[in-house]
Amino acid sequence: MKKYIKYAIPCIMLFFFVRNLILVETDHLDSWMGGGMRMFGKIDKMLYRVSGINIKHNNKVYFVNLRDIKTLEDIYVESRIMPNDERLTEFIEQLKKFDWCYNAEADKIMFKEPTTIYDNTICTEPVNPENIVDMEVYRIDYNRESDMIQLNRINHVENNNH
Amino acid sequence: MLKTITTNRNFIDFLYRSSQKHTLNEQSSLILILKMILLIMLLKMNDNAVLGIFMPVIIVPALLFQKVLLNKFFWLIMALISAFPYLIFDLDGYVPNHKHIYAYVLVSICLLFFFFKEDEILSKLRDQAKYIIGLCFLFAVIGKFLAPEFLNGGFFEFTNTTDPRFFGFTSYVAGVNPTLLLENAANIDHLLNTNNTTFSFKLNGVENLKTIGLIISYWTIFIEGMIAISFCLPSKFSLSKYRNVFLIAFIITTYPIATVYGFAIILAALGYIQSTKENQITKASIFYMLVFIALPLIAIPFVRILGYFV
Repeated sequence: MKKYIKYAIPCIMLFFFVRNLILVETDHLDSWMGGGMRMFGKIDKMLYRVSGINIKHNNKVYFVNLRDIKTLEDIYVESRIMPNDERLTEFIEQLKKFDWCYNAEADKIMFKEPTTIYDNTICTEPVNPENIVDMEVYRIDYNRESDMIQLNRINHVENNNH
Repeated sequence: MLKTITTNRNFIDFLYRSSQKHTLNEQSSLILILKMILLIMLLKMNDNAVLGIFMPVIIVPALLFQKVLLNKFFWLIMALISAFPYLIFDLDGYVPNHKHIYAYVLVSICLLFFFFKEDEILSKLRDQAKYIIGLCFLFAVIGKFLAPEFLNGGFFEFTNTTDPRFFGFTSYVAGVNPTLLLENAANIDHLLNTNNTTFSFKLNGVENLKTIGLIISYWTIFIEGMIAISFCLPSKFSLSKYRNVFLIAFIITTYPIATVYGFAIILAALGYIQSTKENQITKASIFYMLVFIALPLIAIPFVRILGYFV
């Protein structure tokens, strides 16, 4: 037993590396995450990913970026680390439990904080959470030929009840 | 420049000669190393409110009292506390790779305390430090071969013109106007905050970086590859004798530019551990110790300061 102890940590490291390789290909895991030691390799990392939902209101679809919504921080972080189908489906169900509303002046859908004391969201109309169309996660892409930067979709999952 | 290098060499020689007069015994070396590891955890293991509050309460007694520091159950607690957030729930929150290394080091120390006598631990820990450094860089190199944008230089073109940590280097080496780089950073921020997913913009300053991007890419692959090979090879191979040269070259060329404090400090500590030889402090170990102590200075914007004089 004693002579095999020295291989324990290398085996654990190898496990995390192989898991990283697999999850990056199958579940869209950020290659910098999950202990794969693949930092400073790919441009695509969670810090450069955008996560949000599309909500339909008055026959128009609005994209709501989940960044800077403190209450949804865990969903925002986890959905960018590994946006697989299972996670996004689960997050849609969670997001349906919150209140959403329409701001006519800004022409955008906003998140209504569960607490009313600190809520300064200006809403004109409530939005039915069942109107969530889908959840999407994008990554930043750099095109070397044109030097252009744009978003490309990594994965999306539709709301089954919509 | 030559004078500065000579002065630094003389300084390291002076420290080396001084250290020879005060060789540490195995237990003193082990205590020093364990305290270095605990200092890192005290400074960096504060990812959430719970760790931020409780880690000092757990770590400070071990830093003050030797009996706690050399108690195997203390290291079991440290291993468990690090394993939960950094290894078990590592896909549920932001856990950068160096936090995995923290957990590997703590689990490794815990295993050594449980399976070996106190006087055997240090030599086993030296081997573990070599494995961790070697495999970390091996995986990093494989990862770079799996990233097409790294091999064609695109990764550094993008990173050097969008990440504010590299703006001093980019404006100094490639002569790119800092205002254009700040515009890139603002556009990236806008893209990350956008509700319009079709927004796009042209990256400023990359035309000056096409060649530099390739040079940095291949230098990185070379130096990381050499570290991986020299640390993974057994000591009987002659290349393994140069492992500290490669690691020191990596630290000197990387961390003044890419200021990743959490990774640099654990690398310096692991470098120190593997470079000590049977009660003797080597020149390489003095270098790692100096890096370990002086590392907070990387926050100084050297390139910008240099710009005032050139």
